[in-house]
This record gives sequence, structure tokens and C-alpha cells, in this order.
Amino acid sequence: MYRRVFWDLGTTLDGIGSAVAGSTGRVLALVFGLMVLLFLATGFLTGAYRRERESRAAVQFEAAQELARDGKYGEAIDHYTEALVLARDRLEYMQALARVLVEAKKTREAETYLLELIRRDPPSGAANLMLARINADRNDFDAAVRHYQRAIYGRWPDAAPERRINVRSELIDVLLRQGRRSQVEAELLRQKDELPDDPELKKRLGRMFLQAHWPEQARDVFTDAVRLSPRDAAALAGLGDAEFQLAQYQTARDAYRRALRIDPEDAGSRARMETANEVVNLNPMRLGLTPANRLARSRALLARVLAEFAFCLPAHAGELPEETKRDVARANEIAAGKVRRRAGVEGVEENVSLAVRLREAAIAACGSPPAEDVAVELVLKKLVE
Amino acid sequence: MTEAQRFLLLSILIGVFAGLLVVCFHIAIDFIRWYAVGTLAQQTRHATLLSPALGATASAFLVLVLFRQARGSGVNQTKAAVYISDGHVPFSTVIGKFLACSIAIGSGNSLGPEDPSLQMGSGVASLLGRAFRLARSSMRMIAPVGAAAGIAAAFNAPITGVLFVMEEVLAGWHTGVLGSIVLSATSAVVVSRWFLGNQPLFSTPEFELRDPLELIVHALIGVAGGLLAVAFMKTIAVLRRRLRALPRWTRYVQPGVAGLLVGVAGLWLPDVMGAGYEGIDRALHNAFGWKMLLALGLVKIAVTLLCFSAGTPGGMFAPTLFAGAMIGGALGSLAQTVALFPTSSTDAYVLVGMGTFFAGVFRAPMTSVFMVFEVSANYVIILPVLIANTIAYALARSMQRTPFFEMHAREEGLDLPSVEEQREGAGMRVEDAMGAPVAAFGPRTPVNAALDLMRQHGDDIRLVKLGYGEWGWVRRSDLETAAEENGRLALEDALGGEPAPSVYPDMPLDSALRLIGAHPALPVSSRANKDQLMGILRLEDIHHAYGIGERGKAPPGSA
Repeated sequence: MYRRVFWDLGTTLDGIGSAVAGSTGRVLALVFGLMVLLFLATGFLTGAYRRERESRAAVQFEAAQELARDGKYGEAIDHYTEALVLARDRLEYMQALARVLVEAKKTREAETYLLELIRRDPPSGAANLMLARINADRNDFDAAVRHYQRAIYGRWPDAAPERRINVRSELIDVLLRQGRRSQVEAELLRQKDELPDDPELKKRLGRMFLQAHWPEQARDVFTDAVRLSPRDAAALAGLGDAEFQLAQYQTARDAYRRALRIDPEDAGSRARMETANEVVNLNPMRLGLTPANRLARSRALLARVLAEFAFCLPAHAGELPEETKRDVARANEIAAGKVRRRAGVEGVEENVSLAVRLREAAIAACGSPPAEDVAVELVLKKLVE
Repeated sequence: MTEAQRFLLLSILIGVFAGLLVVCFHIAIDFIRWYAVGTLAQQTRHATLLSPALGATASAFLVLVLFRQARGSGVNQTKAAVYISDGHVPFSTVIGKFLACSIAIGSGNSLGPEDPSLQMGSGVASLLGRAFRLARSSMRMIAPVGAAAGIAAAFNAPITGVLFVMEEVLAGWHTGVLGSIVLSATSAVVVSRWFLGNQPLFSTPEFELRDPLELIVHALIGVAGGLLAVAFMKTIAVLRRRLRALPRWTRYVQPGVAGLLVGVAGLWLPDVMGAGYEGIDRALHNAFGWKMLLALGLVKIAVTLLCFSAGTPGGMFAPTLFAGAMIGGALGSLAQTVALFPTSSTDAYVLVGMGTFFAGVFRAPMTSVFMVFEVSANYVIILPVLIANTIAYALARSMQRTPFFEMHAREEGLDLPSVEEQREGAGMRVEDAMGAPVAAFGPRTPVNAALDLMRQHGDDIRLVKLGYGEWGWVRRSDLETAAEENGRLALEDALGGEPAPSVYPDMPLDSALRLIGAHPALPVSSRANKDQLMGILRLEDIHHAYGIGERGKAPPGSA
């Protein structure tokens, strides 16, 4: 009986075809009528199908989100994949899948989804950022920089300015690690221009300027940060570091002091403040000193150079060049106070140039000292400059 | 409205109806899959194991009891409509294919929806053709028009639909029907995209050839695809013969047993169930390592063999694409670890491999190339795909004489023409039959002199050169009559009738046969220089070439 039912349906349609055959107009009218009906029926069916697909996809996506939150990446990937199969045009599903694939260290697979995502949504900031990170991990820095740049100028659904700054900061970090100085400078300046008045962001940028050995810019940024947040110890310490790199030891010392007043536990700032203090107190050319004071400081400087190389100079005295031997002898005399001189510029200059010459010759003969006298080094460097 | 105009209008209508039907078919398969097996991440062990068996049994019952005409390959049924039944495809086959195949594929059996879509398209076309009372010659061509619409909508790829029908059903570029096929395929795809969206079948990666040496890997993928296709076809032939030899009642059980084995395989590798498009998509996103890809490819081949040989209704296109993609991916992935040159990522090899097994099994090289091109929308892929698919095709062709559809048609008791022979034009040419050139007479040669020469050489016929590329002929008997009247007359004055038409060595012999008419011989000239005589073609030469009048003697070229 069933066979008859189905068979009849087929033969009925065949029969209708034959019955109406002949008059093209009649056939056309019937065919178009049937087409409209089928269009409506298919439309209804497709609507139900789409709703079913989407609801199934949403269920899968929710399950995947939960699994990903629990760190069950393997299962989360299965559910995300299924959600994406059911709703291929939902780019957020694809992005979430790519993210969890990256978390699960399946970067090759993640990359294919990210590339597809970018093909379908080129300005996607998140996709470009993930691709940039994958490329950076793979040491493909040109591709990484390209995707970082696209992420910076890309579209972010929320908190776009902060995200852009963070991405650029990440890019600068990558460039700094790669030693790409000109690119670093360009990115730092762009970051500086686009930075809002946020002390945290300013501090981060200041640190990057310091890492890039660009203390002038770092000082500007930290000064801004201090202006925005005067009791921020890290900002003050950063300012101190910028001044320190600029060889402005007195202002550096003052900044460190202010920072330590707020955060006395900051050992790094304390150590650098002490060094800055030493440099300030050792510098014979500092403004406002009396001639006697200058002479005394220059003599102390010479004595510290001798002390720094005490590990080597007496033992290797015989092997030193004649000129150095003479300098060592002269320095020893001056340091011991055996040479009496009137306080004046000539004496100070002789002591300073003797200290510079002696230090250079000692390093050439003995190598760097085991315990380098940073203050001496910094003072001499500043004096030479 | 003229017949040609009605045919064109009908092509659009066929495309629309076929598109609507394929959309419903697609939806039916998905609904059945969701409720029978569940989605990949939700599948329960029981559903995975039992659903294919139950679905296969139900669909076998449908085609063995209710819709007997819906059995068999859609391609062969469409060819039968062209060559045997004057375009008649009963509409009950459309209903039968729709129900049986949606249940079989939806429940997880390893078969594809393209071949049933093709047959449904040809069924719809046939119904409309009958309704419009097309002439017999047009009716014959209506089924391929519907077939193109069906397959184009199933693949969401109009070029693939057109090429496949031209290559596999019609075996050539029938210009009379080409426009209709293009129109129907296009309108079917438009309808399909209207309802199901513009998404291509797969989301494919960007393809780039990283090093020219990579083509070696692609060639190896072609070799693997070709060899596996041969093994696949030979196994099918053996398996189907053995299963058909079993008692008749087992035909109701065989699909269920095959389905159960698919379920067992699905417990381990769920991607091998159903058509497998999702698995290909995952492979295109580098989800699998080479071992997994290899396992998926081989297991898919095995379960498809089982389903097809057991008689579960459904097509083979999708499974062959799946198997090719996985094998290509596995070899590519392996090449990445051993190759001494830069290689692409695995997804690129998956894409290239996709068409190789298809090309080897179905012997449709152009379709296989353009299908990959169409689904990837990437021009760079053409070269590797051409290399891989051509190798697979050539290898399969050299190692397995009978193509898949012909093998299947013979089993179904259909005597259909060999498309491969038709397509490749293996007929005889003039050069296979012509005799060696003999010196021709000049137009001013006296009749007596010509007659003497012919007597001397024992010739019955000789050619006479009349002008540039213009030849006449003389019979000895005619010359003897002319010599009795006036032996000193020039040949051109003694000759009567029209000059003989020239033929060329590369012309089909049957064309020469049509031209020869009342002429006893035709000059065979060079195409480059019509004055240069390459040979002479007599009616006896043609007869000899075709073996007429010389029974027991093989015609030339048949060795």
C-alpha cells in the first residue's frame, strides 16, 4: 500500500505533466504557480533550518566558552568547531576558536582560522594581534610587525584606545628585543603623541624610552606622569632614572629621594640614589665648590682609581709601560699627600687627567676591575665629556 | 515560441526547480543527522554505532521495495535517459532518491549527496520536458541539463556542474546544449545561494607555492591518488560481485551490516561518517597530523567501499574528495618533515589532494581540476592541481581499463556508450586508411601517353593535377575509350565531371567516406601545401580499414 502511495505521487506528477502538456501558456502558468509554492515552502523550511542551526551553534558556543574558562581546551575546541560548522558566518565564533587554539598551543590550526578571519574581516584588531603574536613566537618578525601595525590601526569592539596603546607597547617590546632601533623610535614617538593623560600608560612608555636609551623623551614622559600623579613613587623613580641616564645626577638624586619618601622599600631606587649621591659628592667640577674643595675631591678621585685597581697594579708594576709606571708613581704621591700644591685649576685638572689616563691604562693592562667603582666611572665619564 | 526558445526557457526553470529540490535535500540530510547522530561534539556512542545501520536498512527498504527505479548511479541513469529512454526519467525516482539518500547520508553512512542531486535534477528536467512536450531530440538532451543543475547546486559550483556533465554524461562539447546547461547550472546555484547563503563548500586557506620543487610532492600526491583509485575500483568490482552472489534476501541486510561497520569506525574516527565535508574543512584548517590524516583517508575509503558495495543509496563524490584530501594532507605533512626545500603548510596539500582520488576514480580530469579551483577561488592552485590530478587520472586509466561508471552500468545491465572513447575521439583517420601517393599526370598529358604509363604500372586509377590544390582523376577504362576516339587529346580536355575534393591525413575517416561519393579516389593533400600529395584514398582503402569485405582480417590500428 505504501509503495502505491509513493508510486502514485510520482505517477500523478508525471500524469499532470502529460495532462497539461500541449498549451505552452497553460503549462507555464502551472509551472510558475508550482514554483511560487515551492519557493514559499523552501523559504519556510530554510527559516526553520537556520533557526535550528543557530540555536544549536549557540548551545555549542556556550559549552565551549565554559570549557575554555575551565582550561579544558581540547573539549572546548571540539565545541567551538561544531559551533562554527553550524554558523560559518559568525566571525566571533571563529575568533574564539582561534584564541583557544592558541591557548592549546595549536598555532598552525589557529593560524588558518585567523587568516580566514582576516580575509573576511581585514580590520579585525584581535585577529591581527593573535597572528602577530604567533609570528613573533615563530621569529617571523616582519610578518609580526605587519600584523601588529594592522592591529594598532584595526577595529576593536571595545576600549579601542587602550587596546591600541597596549598593542603598540607590545610591538615596541618586540622591536626592542630585536634591536630595531629606528622602528622602535618611530613607534615610541607615535605612542607618545597618541597617549592620553594616564599616569600608568605614561610610566610604561617612559620605561620603554629608557629601554630604548632615549632619556630625553623618558624625562618628558615621566615629568608628565609626575604632574598627573605627584605622589606616584614609580613615576618619580622613573624620572630619577631618566635624569640618571642624562647624567643629571643631582636632579636624579632629588627625584629618587622624593620617590623613597613615598615608597621606602624601593631598593633599586635607593641604590641608584646612593650612586647619584656619590657622583655628586665626588665630582670636582661641580658648581659652587671652593678651589680647595675641588682639589681635595680630585685627589680623592685619584685615590679611588688607585684603590679600584689595587688588585692588579702593585703586582704587575714591572710589566706596565714606562709612562703608566710614572703615572702610578705620581698618583700614589698625590694620593698620599706627598705633593703639595696650591689650590687651583691646574692642580685639579692634572689630577683629573691623571685619573682618566691611569684608569684607561689599568683597564688595558689588567682588564675591568672585579668590583667596579661605578661612581668613579660616572664622574670620569662626565668630566671627559 | 520556437523549440529552441522553449528549451532555453525550460533550462532556467529546470535550474530553479533543481536548486529548490537540492536545498530541501541538503536541509533534510542535516535534520536527519542532527536528530539521528547528533553533532560531532555531541555524538553518543549508541547513536554513532547504530544510526548508520538503521538508516541504511531503512533506505535499502525504500529502494528495494518502494522505489526500485531509484537504485543505481545517478550519472548512469541520466546517460540512460540520453541514450536509451529518449529523456524519460520517472518522477518516482526523484522522490525515491530524495527519501532514501537523505536517510542514508543523514544517518551517517559514508556516501555523498551529489550523485542523488544530479539524478533529482535530471528527473525534474524530464518531468518539465514532458509537460512542455519537447521534440524527441530535445527531450533526449533535457536530462543532462537537469543533471548539471543538480550537481552545480550540490557543490555550490556552477562550472563544476557544467564541466562534469559535458565530460562524463555527454562526453564532449555539444554546442547545441551547452548554453542550456550553463543556464540551468547558474540558476540552480543562484537559488541554492539564495536560501543557503553565499558560503563556498569549504573555507579554504590562501595557497602559495613556496618552492618550485614542491611540485614533486604534488606529483607524488597524484601518484598516491591514482594508485588508491585503482585499488578502490578493483576492490569494488570484487566486493560487489561477491555480495551480489549472496542470496537475494541478503540485499535487505547488507546495507545494515555495512552501516554497522561504519558506526564502529565512527566510534574511533567520527569524521569518516556521512559525506565528510566537515572533516575536509577541519583538515583544511590543519586540525590533524599526518598519521590521523592517513588513518582518516584509508578508513574513509574502506567504509565507502562497504556502503557502496552493499548497495546503500548515495553518491561517491564527497567520499572521494574526502579520501583524496586526507591522503594529500598526510603526504604533504610528511613532506614537511623530510623535504630539503621549503614546503607549504598541510592545508595546501589537503586542497591539492582533494581532486586526485576523484580524478582517478571518475576519470573526469577537467572537472576535478576546476572543482578544486572553484572551491578554493585561488588561481595559484591551478598548476599543482593540474599536475596532481593529471597524474592520478593517467595512472588510473593505464591500470584500470574500465572506468567506474561503465563498470557500474554493466552491473546494472545498461549498455551505455563509453564516454572515455567518445571524449577522446578514438575513431579512425584518413591516414589510417590511405595508400601511398602515386605520381599524378599533368593536365596537358596526352591520353595515349597516360594510358601507356597506366598499363605499364598496372594502375586502374590515377590523379590528374588540374591547378593549385585542385585534383581530378582518370580511370584506365575511360582512357581506353578516349584513346580510340583521339589518343592525342590532352587529359584535361578528355576528362569530364567535377574535380575530386581534397582530404587531409588527420580528417576522420567517416568524413572522407561522406565526401568520396561517386569519386573512385580522393587526393590526400598536405594542409601546409595543397599541391603536395600525401597519399591517395580509394573506397576499397576505406572498406579495408573498416574490415568490410575481408572477414577474419583485423582492421588496421586495432592491434
